[in-house]
Amino acid sequence: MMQIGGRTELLKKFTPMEMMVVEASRLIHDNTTVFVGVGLSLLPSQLAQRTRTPGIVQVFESGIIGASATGRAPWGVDDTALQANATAFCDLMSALGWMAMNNKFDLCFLGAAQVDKYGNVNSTVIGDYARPRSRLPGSGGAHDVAAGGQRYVVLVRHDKLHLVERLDYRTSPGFIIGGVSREELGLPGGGPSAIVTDLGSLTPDPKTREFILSRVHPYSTITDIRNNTGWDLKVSDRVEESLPPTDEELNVLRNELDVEGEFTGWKKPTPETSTPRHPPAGVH
Amino acid sequence: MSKILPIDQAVLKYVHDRESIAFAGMPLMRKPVVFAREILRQRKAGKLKVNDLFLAGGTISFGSALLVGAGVVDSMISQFIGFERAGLNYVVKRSIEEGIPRRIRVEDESNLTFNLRCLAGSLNLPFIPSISGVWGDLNTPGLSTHGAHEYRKYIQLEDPFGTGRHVALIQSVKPDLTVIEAPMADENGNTFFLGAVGHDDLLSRAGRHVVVVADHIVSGELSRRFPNMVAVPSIGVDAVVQWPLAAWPTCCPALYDPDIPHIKLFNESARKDEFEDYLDWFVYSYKDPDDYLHMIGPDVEKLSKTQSASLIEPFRKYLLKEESLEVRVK
Repeated sequence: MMQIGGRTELLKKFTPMEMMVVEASRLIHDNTTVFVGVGLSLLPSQLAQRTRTPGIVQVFESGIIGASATGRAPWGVDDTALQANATAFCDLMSALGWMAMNNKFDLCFLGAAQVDKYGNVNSTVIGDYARPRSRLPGSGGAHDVAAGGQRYVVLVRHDKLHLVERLDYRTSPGFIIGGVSREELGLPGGGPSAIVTDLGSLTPDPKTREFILSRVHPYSTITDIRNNTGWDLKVSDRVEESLPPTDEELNVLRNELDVEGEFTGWKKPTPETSTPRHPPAGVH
Repeated sequence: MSKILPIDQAVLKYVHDRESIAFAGMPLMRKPVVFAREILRQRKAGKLKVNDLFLAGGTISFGSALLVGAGVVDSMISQFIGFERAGLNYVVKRSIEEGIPRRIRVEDESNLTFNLRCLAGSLNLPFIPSISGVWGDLNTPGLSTHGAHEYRKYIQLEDPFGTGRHVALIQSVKPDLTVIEAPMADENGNTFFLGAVGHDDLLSRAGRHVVVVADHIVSGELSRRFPNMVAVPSIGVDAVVQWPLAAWPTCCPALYDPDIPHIKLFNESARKDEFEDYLDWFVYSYKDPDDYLHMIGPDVEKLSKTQSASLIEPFRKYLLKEESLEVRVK
């Protein structure tokens, strides 16, 4: 296998979280319908619409259709920043009941606190449900989009606390226990199509539906990624290296979407380390 | 018939201990926060005895957090706890994780399963089938006193009509009281939303009683001119309360933006054990709506310069001037 990744000097130019948002945004095709989740998953479609794919229609579970954020980046899927140029307002039941359950979304973005090798997601608690070590937001619309959405992308920080062998709580369905188990449940959506992290991207094996390493971010290495994954991560025999963010992408991210660097950390120095990290206070 | 009530009277009439309340709105949008404040104010004044409220869902955001932080909530159904990109909800978190000021019981739903429970409630059905809930731990009961894993919350069923499809049967919810926040309502209770609807109309239909907290009272002419615009017809409304910036620090599209710095300040107050001080400053301190606006301060103007203001332009001439309202809290 050819040597890829490992160019940590690139992290002087951008952060791993910026790479994650950029990589996720590149999965969006123009003139498609994109469902936008809360938290960090708000950013990829905003970035894509402002750069490569101006023709996308974004749908937010509050019932906003067709809005592009005006001025500042939206704080949530219900923010006024998304309510000045929408093409339609409807309700939550329309977005998550009608649209999600009837394949109206071409691509969806979801955040996660934990994801397992079959793309099942926990965003509810860390620890025991009745006495959680950390209580997180819970499903919101994530369970509904995961059950119904045609294809969805999970955004998650890459370490052993987030990519785990076993979820503390099963919030949203991925490929269940692999194989055809999702189809057997009769869920209408096609399931997760990618897990994009700050170290690389995983995609499901077409047969076993187990997520395997398919892309490595340019500063990262296969060994880094395997060491930071909570299961024995298999590696595709055609692993590719993702392209670093372009100046335009970084420009939009830093000057329009995450001006304070609160979400992608671009204003803070990034530790160049491949040792497992501590959990952030909260992830969603 | 006018249904306008001063906020204190609306709280005293419709809030009862050990009953369920649903606050409509999304995490950062149209939360009837001023109504939650008034519950605590009336309690502190000794006029309202509430110790064990049941929050029947809606997204658990700001008003819910005030009640949880003040220790008057026993249990809740939750679709989502938090302020989205503005942060986790530390008041509710510490209650669940550390039992401060008391441990509350939580039952999780997804946005859709909770909405379906309300739809079933609005149709007076005992349950409703759902695709969401077929898989996963949403099925874990959280309000059970029998221990979390002893029985299943939903009933799994294969379509009795023989398609082979699986559904989860989920039970209906009818909150004793639904409180919704709206930019505009008329004195009869016809209620208008501007911007995303969220689940506010649905929650109102599920509620046994419904109180609307409106930023503006509009002339009755508005519903006659634009009957399609009425999201909640007067038939479904018991009382209308007028209060400016009623959803602050969440946003009311068309009128004001979310006050993110204040939400962060609120979160910090819980993390630094200054929640009681927060209540003194921002819940118990004001006397009337003018005083309330004064408390929020110069940010009122900043927040009101929202880009979504264009939404209200066609309706501005129907807004009644505040002086013409007979009822204001004095």
